[in-house]
Formats: sequence, C-alpha cells, structure tokens
Amino acid sequence: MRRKPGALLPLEISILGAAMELAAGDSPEFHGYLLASALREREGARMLTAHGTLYKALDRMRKAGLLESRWEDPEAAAKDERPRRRLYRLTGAGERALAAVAATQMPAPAMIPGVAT
Amino acid sequence: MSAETWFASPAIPEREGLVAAAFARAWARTYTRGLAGEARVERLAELDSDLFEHERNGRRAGQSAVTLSFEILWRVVLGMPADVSWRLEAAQPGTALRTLAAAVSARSAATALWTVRRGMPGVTWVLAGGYVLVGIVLLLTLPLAGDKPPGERAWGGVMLLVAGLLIAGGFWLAKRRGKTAVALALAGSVPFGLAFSATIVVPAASVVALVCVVVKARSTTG
Repeated sequence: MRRKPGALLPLEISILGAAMELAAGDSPEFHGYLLASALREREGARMLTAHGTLYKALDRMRKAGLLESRWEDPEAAAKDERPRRRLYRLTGAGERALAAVAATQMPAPAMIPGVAT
Repeated sequence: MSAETWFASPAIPEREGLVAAAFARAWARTYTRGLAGEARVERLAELDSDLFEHERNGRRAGQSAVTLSFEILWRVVLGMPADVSWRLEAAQPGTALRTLAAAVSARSAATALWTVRRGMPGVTWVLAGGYVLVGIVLLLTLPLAGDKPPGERAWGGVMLLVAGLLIAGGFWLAKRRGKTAVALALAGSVPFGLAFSATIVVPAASVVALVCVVVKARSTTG
C-alpha cells in the first residue's frame, strides 16, 4: 500500500518531535545514535530503533527537506577518538510539518512534546 | 581524494569490537555493494559512528557485552527489511537490481504476503529440519566414524540437533512468548550461521529464520 505524497509516517512524526526536543535542549544538531536514544526515551521503548528503519527514514526526510545534514569536522572526531558523525538539524519545513501534524491531531499536543502551541 | 579516504578516521585507535557490531558492518557492506557514488561510503560511515556510540555508551552505562550484542543484533535484524528496501530504491535506473525492484514493486503486496506466509516459515523449517536431520545422521553414524575421534563427531551432532530444536522451538513459541522465541531462534541460528558464514546459504537461511521468528513475534505482541 502506497502512502499519500507528503503524508508523514508515525516514525517521521516521532523523529520531528524528538528533533524539536533536542533543539529546545542543547542539541540543535544530532547524530543517528543520539536520535535513536531520544526516540527510545520519548516513546518509553525498551530497544533502540533499528538501524535500517532509522537511517532510511532520515534519508527520506533529508531528501524531503524536513531535515538537513552535514558531516562533522574530522578534527573534532579525531580529538574524541571516534568515527565522524553525520549531524542532522531540523529545517523550517520540518518545523512547519510538525506544527501541521500537531494542529490536525488535536487534542494531541501532548503526543508531540516540544511543539509550541 | 576518494570518498573512502575522506571518511576515514585515522586517529581512532584499534578497538576490541563486538562480534555483533562486526556482523552489522558486514551486513551493511553486503547490501550496499554496487551502490554508486558516495551513498555507500556515507551509509557505512554513518553506521560505523552509530555502532561506536552505541557500544561506548553501553559500556559507560555498565552494560555487559552480551546485552550490548543482543541490542545491536536486534537493531540489525529488525532493520533488514528497511535496508533492503532502501537499497532497491537507491539502485541506478537500468541496472538489474532496479529492474528486479520494479518487478517486485509491481507485485509487492502479493510478494510480501507470500514471503511472510510461506517463504520465510518454509526456510525456517528447512533450516531447523536440516540441522536436526544432519545431527541425527551424525549421531547414528558414530560407530562408523573410522579413525576420527568420535567425541568431535558426537559434539557436532548434538550441537546441530540442539540448534535445530532451538529454531523450531522459537518458531513454535513466537505467537505466545515473543522474547523467549527470539532468544531461542538467536541461540539456534547465530552460532552455525557464523560458523558456516563462508557457505552464504547457511548464514542467509539463519538470518531469514531469525527475521521470521521476530516478525511473527512482533505481529502478535504489536
């Protein structure tokens, strides 16, 4: 079954919500593992989102303009002795998409924490 | 500068990685093979970063290697359908893979239904049955073992028998006790899947069996 163009999947809505929460905290940019951890926390799940599910959704959302990404400075990664992170950031289009979902899912702002109402 | 060089992190010291993380990387190398441009390198680099952060955070939180391995394997196995789907979408137009994707897509509903209802359970039963059968044959032919030490042969037979029963048990329990079923399927399929990784068929069947049990368990528990 194909989904309607522009319609967001539940996981994509959760990602936008988690990205908004992270941005409201001190992480306007986030990497895949951080996002998976944030999703687990906000969903109250026991396990992290599967790699394939998460990165496919991120790829799709980046192409749709809901998120933007950049590879971090190699020196920062080398300094911390870890692989380079791909850092994502919520775009204006992503914020608007989340606000639109929140508006159509009344009374459910509580389901999307971090959305200003 | 090549994409591989650009993404390389030479300052990272050699680290003792988990086998599960190695499996995740091997799977990613497999499904991204033949991918054009930087998509492959970027996906591998992104996964490498995720695995590193997962392992490092888990160890800092005091998680055991077994728990971490289970979590990573869980993430790999559950993400496999999305990985394959992403790979098919990323295939270049005109390639055999893209043609196959288009053909599969045209019959996606029927194909998915057949795969879930018949294909995956079929492979699972064949794998479990094969292990049990070979195990029994090995044990029954112990007296004919010739000059080989019978202990080695007996161990092989018992292990195959147990692995087959674990997989079958996992499949049978999937609808009632999801976590136990997945644990049984993992215990039954992973060791021989890794041991016979060179055969391609055994690890592939092991992965299918594992995915089958996980899908069946999840479809019940939601």
